[in-house]
Amino acid sequence: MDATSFKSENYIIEEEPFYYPVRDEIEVFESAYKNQLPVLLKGPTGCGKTRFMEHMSWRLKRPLITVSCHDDLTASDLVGRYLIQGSDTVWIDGPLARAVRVGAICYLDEIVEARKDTTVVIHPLCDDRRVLPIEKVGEVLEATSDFCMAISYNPGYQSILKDLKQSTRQRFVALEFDYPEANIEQSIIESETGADKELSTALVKFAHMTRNLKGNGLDEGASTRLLVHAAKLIVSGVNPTTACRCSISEAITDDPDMLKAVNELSSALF
Amino acid sequence: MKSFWEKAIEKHRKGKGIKARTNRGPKIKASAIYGGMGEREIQLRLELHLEPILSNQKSVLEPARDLCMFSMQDQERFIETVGEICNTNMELAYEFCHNGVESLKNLDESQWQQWINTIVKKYNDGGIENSVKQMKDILFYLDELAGTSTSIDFEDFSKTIESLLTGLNGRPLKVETAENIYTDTETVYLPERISSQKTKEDNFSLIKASAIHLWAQTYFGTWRIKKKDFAKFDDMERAVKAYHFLETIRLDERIATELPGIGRILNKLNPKDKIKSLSKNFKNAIEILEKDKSTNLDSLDLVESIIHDLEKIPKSPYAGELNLESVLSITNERIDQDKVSFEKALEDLHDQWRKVEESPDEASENDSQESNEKTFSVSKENEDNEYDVVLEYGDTSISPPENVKQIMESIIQDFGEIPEEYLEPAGDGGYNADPDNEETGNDYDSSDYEFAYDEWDHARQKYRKDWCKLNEKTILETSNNFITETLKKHRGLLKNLNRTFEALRQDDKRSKKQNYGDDIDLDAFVDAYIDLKKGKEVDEKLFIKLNKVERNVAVMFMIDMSGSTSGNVNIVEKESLILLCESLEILGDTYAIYGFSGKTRNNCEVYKIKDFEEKYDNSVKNRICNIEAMDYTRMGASIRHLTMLLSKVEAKTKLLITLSDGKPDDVDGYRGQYGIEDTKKALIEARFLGIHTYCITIDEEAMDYLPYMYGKNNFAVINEVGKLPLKVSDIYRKITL
Repeated sequence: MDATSFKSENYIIEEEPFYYPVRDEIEVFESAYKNQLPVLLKGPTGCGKTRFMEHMSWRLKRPLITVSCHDDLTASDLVGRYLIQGSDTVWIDGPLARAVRVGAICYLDEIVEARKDTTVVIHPLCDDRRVLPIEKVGEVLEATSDFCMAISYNPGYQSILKDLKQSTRQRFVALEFDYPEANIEQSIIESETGADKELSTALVKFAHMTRNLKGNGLDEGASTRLLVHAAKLIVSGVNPTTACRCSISEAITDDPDMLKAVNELSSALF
Repeated sequence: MKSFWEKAIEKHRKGKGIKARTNRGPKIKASAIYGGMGEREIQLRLELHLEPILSNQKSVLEPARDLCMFSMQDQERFIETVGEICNTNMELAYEFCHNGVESLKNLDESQWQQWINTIVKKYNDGGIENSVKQMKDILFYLDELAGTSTSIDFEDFSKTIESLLTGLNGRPLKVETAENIYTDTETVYLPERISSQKTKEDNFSLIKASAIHLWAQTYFGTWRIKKKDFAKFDDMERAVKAYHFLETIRLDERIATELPGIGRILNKLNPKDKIKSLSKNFKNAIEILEKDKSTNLDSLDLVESIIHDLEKIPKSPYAGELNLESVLSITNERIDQDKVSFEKALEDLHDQWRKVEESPDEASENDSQESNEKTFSVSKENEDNEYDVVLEYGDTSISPPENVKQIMESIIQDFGEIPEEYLEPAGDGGYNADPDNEETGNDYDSSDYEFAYDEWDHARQKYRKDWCKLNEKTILETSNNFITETLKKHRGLLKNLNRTFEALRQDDKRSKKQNYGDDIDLDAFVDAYIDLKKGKEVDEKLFIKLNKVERNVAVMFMIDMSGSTSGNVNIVEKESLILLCESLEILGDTYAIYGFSGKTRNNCEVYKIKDFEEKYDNSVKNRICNIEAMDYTRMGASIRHLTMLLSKVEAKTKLLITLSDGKPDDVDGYRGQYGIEDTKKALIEARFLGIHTYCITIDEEAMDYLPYMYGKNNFAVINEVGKLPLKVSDIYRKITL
């Protein structure tokens, strides 16, 4: 079976992506969208930021254009560039320009990974001007009310190397995400994987144990995403200890001492 | 070089040493059996080493006789080793003579040195008895070497156990070694070696069970007792034993619910069915304690019923013992400390909330009078889990910061709840009163000095010429295990620091429009193509190249050694420096470390710990260990001196970082506005020379003067002294990014 291909601006999420609201983030986002304010999502990896964006994209019925930022990402990669076609050069919109044109939600994932000079191109879009100047073509693209800008970053580990500039971050409505509370995290695992209560309780307990180890040899504890992975494996018949080892312990650390300790924790629980 | 016999004769002629000594023991025959030295010669040679401690009771006769049975080579190896051990300790060498001969039979030459190292290490770690035990344990040591041992040593399991315990909830527990298995509620003590089980895995399971059992004691409230609870029993020791037995049953049940994997191990090691069958009383006790809601008070009530049958109970291999004394002393101290910290935290929260509620938006609903009267309360969220509590302020439930949560958890661990009196608003008491600085009565008049520096008099708006006399000294070296301990204590942190510093070093930068490189620069290519079409000259710079970013940083650390840093601050300063040096070594930045202190303008002192040229070697490490709290904080002169040193170094970026705990302060009027103004002036002078200045302080009032002295972005205040080691390296990385 071939994978289906969409133009990113036409990719509209049809089915509701499962999202369990932790607080009032959905209302805040909707209200920011109505008021044409850009949104900043911050939180540790695997706590549901991207899933939340998918959910909002479905809810607002707007296409979601996601750009995963990296340190080679240039302003041209976002805005667009001239390319050669036959003997002519033609202008090709980058994802950001495309999102502005069609009124999509543009989501820059892990924004701090991008270089600081790149980040600056989104500034005019993120204040009351809501325009994207395209210097090379000499045009200014004005965003419609459908367009929405959202960025995400993890204030935990990247910030040591790269931080979001104040001039960037102060343009956004900020939503803080964290790992959900135990009972919510359990129901997320249950509805994502069909795991029973006993299993989800044990997995969440395990996650909390690894989160206790953060800063004591672990950079991050197990994320909700990893718990879902582990639960999926266990539900499909993998031995719980093995599942925890493969989908959680090995995923969060390479350090042999830490691995041993984390595996001991899981074998204490199962 | 004189031969041994010649030396012996010489000593003999002088009328001391060998002759005199040998006369004390019975005469022995000098004969060589296996081609080696004879008894007499061996005896004499051993005596040469051990001379000062030998007496009528202490002779080396027996070892000499035993050594006769060995070849010349073995004998020499042995005697040489005795000499080596003498350098560590003579008594140890004597014990080695008596207990070490056996090892000659068992070890070959290649294993010998390692064996000796083990013995000496044991001595250094745990004294002579410990070492002798190791000497006698040669067969076990051989097993270890051959990998056939089933036992497991503290070194093998401590790291895993410590991480395991950190992962579990509750107060962080350290792991240390001791003769018996017990906990004082802050440290878990486990034996040096576990070998009672048949396989290595089983031995590890046993030690794991012990550690979890001790954790459960602290987490599930075994220690919510007082000494007087046992006062009614005639034999208190017996009562405590009975209580421990009952608690073990209760805790096993709790552990089985919380950690089923461990529960299985516990049941295998200490089956309850067996105990149930002992008597009706035991059966009854177990049934009560196995209930979900049973507490340590139930155990206490049951002590009476089983105290006379203690002999019947099989000893559970993992439970260790209850060490009432050590727990009580530690607990009392902690309870006081927690109470103070908690009340302080509540006070802060109270202030914050009052501010929030007094803000104009809400003023209409709450008048300030009312909000002042609001108090804190704690309600239970979940009946089954005593740790699941919510802090409420008035009617609003609030989420306290992480550190307050930890204190609350620690208090609940001790009491099972947050006692009412903890929640009453604290009075005017200042909790963070500074300990009084001790004045030293040294006479400080000195006319010898190496450097003289101007000082800024802000009242006159003029410099006082050559006002401060400054000497540069080098801190004496001291050798102790502070460095090792620090590295051990912070090993988790160090790993993180290393990784992030490593990442900093390997930062690549992409340069566009290069003549050659790793990738095509698409934009440059399109431009060139357009130029080509237009018939213009084509730029050949079409590539993207990855360049290593060269760091060219020289940094001077200026360490506050004033009297106020004595005690804990001094220790964390040293720890911070050690971690920082480890990190800086990775980064490859040029750095120097100087301490500063002094008393009056005539005795400003700057202490060299490491200069720019020096390597981070043992002498630097030993100097760091010897940093001590001295006198006062005359910052201006020190800044000027270190600026002078720093300005001589060639580097693109130069940084002067001060590690401090308070305002500039000296006895001869160098305080208040005067001190601050002079320090500010000195910093301006430094900046004028292209040196960036930065200050890291632990003074909570630093916000009052640091922004003025250093500028609003050039300082960091660390609220928690303990965090300094982490923060210093972290801040350094951030500011040099």
